[in-house]
Amino acid sequence: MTANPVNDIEETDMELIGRWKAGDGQAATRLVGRHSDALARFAASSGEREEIEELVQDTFVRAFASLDSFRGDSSLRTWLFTIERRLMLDRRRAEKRDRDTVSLDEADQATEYGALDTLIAEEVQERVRRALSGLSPTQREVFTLRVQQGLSYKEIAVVVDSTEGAARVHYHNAVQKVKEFLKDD
Amino acid sequence: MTKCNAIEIRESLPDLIHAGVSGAEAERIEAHVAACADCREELRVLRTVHGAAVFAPSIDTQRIVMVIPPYAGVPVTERPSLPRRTRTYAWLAAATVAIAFATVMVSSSGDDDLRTVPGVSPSPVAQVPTTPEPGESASVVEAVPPAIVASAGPRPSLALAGGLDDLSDVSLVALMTSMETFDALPAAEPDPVLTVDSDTTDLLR
Repeated sequence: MTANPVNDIEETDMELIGRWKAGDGQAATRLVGRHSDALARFAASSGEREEIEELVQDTFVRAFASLDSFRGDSSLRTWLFTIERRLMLDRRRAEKRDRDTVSLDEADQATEYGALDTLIAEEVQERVRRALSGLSPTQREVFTLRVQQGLSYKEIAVVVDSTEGAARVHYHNAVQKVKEFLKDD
Repeated sequence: MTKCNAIEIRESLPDLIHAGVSGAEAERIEAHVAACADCREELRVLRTVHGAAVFAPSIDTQRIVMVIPPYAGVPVTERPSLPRRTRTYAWLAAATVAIAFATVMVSSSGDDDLRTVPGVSPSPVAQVPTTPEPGESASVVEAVPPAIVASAGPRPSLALAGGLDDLSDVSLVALMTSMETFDALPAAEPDPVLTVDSDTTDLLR
């Protein structure tokens, strides 16, 4: 369910938002299709295992409900990551005692998305998962947003509610840990 | 451990993966990577991590779009202001509520000024005999403090506007009689006082 890439190039997120406000429902479909996969990957990389689609859905519902507050200072995707991260934090707080998240090195990780198993290069995948599980939550978020999502340090600082300098430090520390893990593994 | 100190280059390596840099900047980074074994190794690790991105379930975008409510908001800057007449009525309503509230507060504070005896039923006071006792003039009976008479209303407590010295003998008898009918009185027993003798004083020293 991805949007037409040609139209994606032609229309910016802000233009689509304007169309949606004008009553064009297709604009919402385009926006969701453009950003949903990235949100799902970010959630999975951050340790969320269950109800990722619900998490992505809640992110979009909240975002569309408060689009008037989106001023465009950051990109829409950065703003969506910010909302999703807050939802993840809320979810973790609510399930703190018996949460079922984050443990990326659990044995059942490889069977979580059964239908996709055939698509996964399991050995490399598992090594990377283990490497990421050795990072602190903030390091993992920063590293994932930088390496897998391609966000700038400034955008990452917005998402994780920190400073650009702190984001750079977290990134460097994360890179060191991942390199050492993958070298020793 | 990484030996390369080209922090700026190393921070930009993910941009090579995402084509976040182009032109001369990209060429500069690639030239450094070509000459630096540490950065080549780091870029290889980053590509591995990026290629092995944690898989997430596919998202049904149509299902999400269905639960998104249609846009119903009006931008704050375009929100129409209330008509002038409506604003006037709003101010009047707010002022009325404020005056009513103030009136209630003043009435309550006035009641609080009266010293009250909790639990005293007003009825015994209302039954003060109006017939003077032998040797007592009728004016004494009429000298019951007005606050006591006023408290004979629905308020379930006895209010005294003055001290007990202000009460006449008849009123005092009535008050004493009514006090005997109390179901319970607050404990007025003083706490036991320890006597400090000289031995205890010595111990405290």
